[in-house]
Amino acid sequence: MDQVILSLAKGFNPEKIVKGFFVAGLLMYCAFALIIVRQTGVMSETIEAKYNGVLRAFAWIHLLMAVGLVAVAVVIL
Amino acid sequence: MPDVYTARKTGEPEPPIPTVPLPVREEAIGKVLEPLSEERSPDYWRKITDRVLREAGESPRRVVYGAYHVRPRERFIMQQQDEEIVLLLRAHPITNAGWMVMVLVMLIIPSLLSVIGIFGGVDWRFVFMGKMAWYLVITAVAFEKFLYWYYTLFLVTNERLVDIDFNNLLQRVMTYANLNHIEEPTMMTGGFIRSLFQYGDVHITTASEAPTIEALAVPWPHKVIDIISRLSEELEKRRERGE
Repeated sequence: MDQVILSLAKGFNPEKIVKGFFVAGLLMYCAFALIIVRQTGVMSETIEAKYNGVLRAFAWIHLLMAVGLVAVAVVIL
Repeated sequence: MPDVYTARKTGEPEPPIPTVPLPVREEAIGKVLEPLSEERSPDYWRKITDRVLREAGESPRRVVYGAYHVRPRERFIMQQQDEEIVLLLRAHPITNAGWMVMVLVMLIIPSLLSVIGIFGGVDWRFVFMGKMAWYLVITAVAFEKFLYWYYTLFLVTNERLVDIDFNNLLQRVMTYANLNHIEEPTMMTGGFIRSLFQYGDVHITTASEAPTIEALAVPWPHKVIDIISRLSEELEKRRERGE
């Protein structure tokens, strides 16, 4: 039992845990960004406004930025 | 006693269904149908709307950063064929000042904390990722607030009032009220900011399922009520003529 605890303590790396939280949080944020994309689509169906295309594009760019940030977090952290 | 029902024996053919010949307009055969009268032409209500706007002192224009748009060319969901948007209203842009200030403060916070030195002992990679995530969240907050403002609309058409609200991320609530069902349009203004920027609330009591329909913080509420009242009168005249 003591050997098991010692081996776990040696493998304990707080940076990995923080990285895990970062990546998990950013993945949840990607889900939120996806909802924003869907929301923009629903809203732009309501009225054919002048800036519907711009707003939908911005929602997609935001989603891509979120996904990109997940990739950056996995690589550099 | 007359026979009400005569049973048919098996194998007998069904009696033919008696048909009543439709009356034929002899004068219509071979002739081109006459054009619609003026009251039923599509341009008629456009002219009526032109007159209403002229009398109310309005003309097609888009002002206050799109919060007050007369005769917009946009179409909305479930708009009918002969329906035209007369007024497209949003909340006055000054109502966005609160969240804009909040976003500006949020943008400055990481720099302030860096200057203070809170991130002194933290690995630069985590500081960088934290800042990027923070700015992304700010972007989402600002975008959400803008979307709520841009797509929360109050429409006045030549037939009805349409109130479009977004309660949360994916829930859209659309309330309609026909112009001939409205009863008491009222406006409410007050306060320094509202008087300065000339915006207020419009409340309309209706005889339909939605008892009150509201347009909150719209520019020039007195003009809105004037136009709604005039359009309602025109619709009432049309109803009296039997159209």
